[in-house]
Amino acid sequence: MKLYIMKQSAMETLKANLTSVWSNYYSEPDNGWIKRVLGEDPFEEFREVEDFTLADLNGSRSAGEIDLSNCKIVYGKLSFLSEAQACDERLWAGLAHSTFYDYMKKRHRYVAVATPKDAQTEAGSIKSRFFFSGSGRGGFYRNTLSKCWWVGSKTYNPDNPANPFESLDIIGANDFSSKVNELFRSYSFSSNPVIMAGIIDALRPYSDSQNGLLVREQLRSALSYLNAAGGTTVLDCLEKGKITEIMSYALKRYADGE
Amino acid sequence: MNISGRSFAYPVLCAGGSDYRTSKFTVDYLTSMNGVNSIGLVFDIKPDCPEIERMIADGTAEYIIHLECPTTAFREIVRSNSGHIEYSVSIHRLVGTLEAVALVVLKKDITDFYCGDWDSDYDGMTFELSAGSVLAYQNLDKLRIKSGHASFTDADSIFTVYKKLTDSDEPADVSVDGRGIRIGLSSGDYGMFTALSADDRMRPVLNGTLILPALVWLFEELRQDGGRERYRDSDWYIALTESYAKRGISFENEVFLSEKTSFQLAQEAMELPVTKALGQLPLIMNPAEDEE
Repeated sequence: MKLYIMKQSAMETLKANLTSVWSNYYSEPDNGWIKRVLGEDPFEEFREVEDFTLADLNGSRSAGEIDLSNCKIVYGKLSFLSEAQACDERLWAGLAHSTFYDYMKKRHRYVAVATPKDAQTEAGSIKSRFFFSGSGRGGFYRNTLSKCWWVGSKTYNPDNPANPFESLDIIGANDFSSKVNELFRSYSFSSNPVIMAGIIDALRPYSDSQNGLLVREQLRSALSYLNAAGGTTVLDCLEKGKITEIMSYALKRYADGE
Repeated sequence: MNISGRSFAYPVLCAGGSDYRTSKFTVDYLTSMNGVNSIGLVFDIKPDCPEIERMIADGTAEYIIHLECPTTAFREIVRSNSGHIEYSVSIHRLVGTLEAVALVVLKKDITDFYCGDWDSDYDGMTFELSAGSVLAYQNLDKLRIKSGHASFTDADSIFTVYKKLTDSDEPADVSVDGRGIRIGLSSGDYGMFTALSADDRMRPVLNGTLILPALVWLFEELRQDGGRERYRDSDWYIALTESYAKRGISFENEVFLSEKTSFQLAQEAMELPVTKALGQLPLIMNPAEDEE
């Protein structure tokens, strides 16, 4: 399987003209329209990797279950990427429009019979799913494919060979997208692996198979509480157990409706 | 992470702070490339405060270096009981900027925190502090890293020309963000541009026609209020700074302190594009002269 990046000029052209070209994502059966619109081949070969497929879209699995599976698959298969490469928009725009274009269309139901919204809304959705909308974490935690790589990267634990993605399983598939947003995108402190490990440990009692987790009422408030604790101390300097202690207290407090 | 505008409920030793009368917190910070794949960071930290130094010596507090690259979500800390710290970071983990803060942080909860060098506002006071509390800090200069290290190709440029899907001729657009400067051409112009740019002889003419005015605009944008702060971590800003440095010139001095017009600056940055474009035209119009 060949992986392609998108040429910078092609990416800029598509992004700048999304309000004009968005309907092609629905109406065209494949990505041939991109070359026709641009008048040039938009891709450059990056490298060849062993064939792999993303999570099956045809079963009865929820969007969260599909995304969670894809975090394991995408990071597992592309773990050779450096962080510097993985934050390059051209890579993910390239993969989303070439190797995984058909998958992206199915995943987000870009089919001819769909009823699209207005051009601005559609352009905005395509931008964040196929490209980066925003810079840094704001961009790569929203793109459908790069989000999977980054969440996989931040949760992968090579010291747990029996289940290196145990942290992902603890986070759970229910309302997965919202959890990713809260856990990985909203606060920069979650980039610290020790802090993230402490948070995950606090989430153990709330896994999907147990009590579940209320994302907005409980997780968001608890992370906000943890962030406030960082106002008086440097969270990064605390031991993992201390992070877990603070987070566990907050999760319980907000679960009790305080 | 940078510590700015944060109020502490107890005295903290830091540059520009007034909680301590005479003590200073100084950090010497040196960076260098370790081969081609990693950056070596060396810190020499001197709290110059006997109470804080004693707390480090007896294990109550420790030195911390907080490192963060916002673009790649790299975030780590380095702990040490020594004020001399050496650390190495893979270049492949960084894009844009590496922020560093040197701190002295409590390792355990303490009561009766007191220092004889505090400002008189704190006379007679002691503090109860928890582990993780900051005793001293200094924000260090950001290290700027070009994303070229992450490149998939070598053809990256700070300028990107893209096509605006238009049915008629329209003015070219220019815009800028962290990654680069974008020039948008209407469909017809873009087609002409791609055809001409395939011919090496046309490059100077295209540079004079497209890149020069975009660069003039960019310098004007930089000279707006807040322009330097808005763009100084950008890839293109770093690239221009390095390009000027190779010629022994300070990019920032040229842009922000010199009396030169943006038009003059842009021509110097591009090494006289007008001259090059005009000089190329006779060779294009009469190729025979070129062959002679």
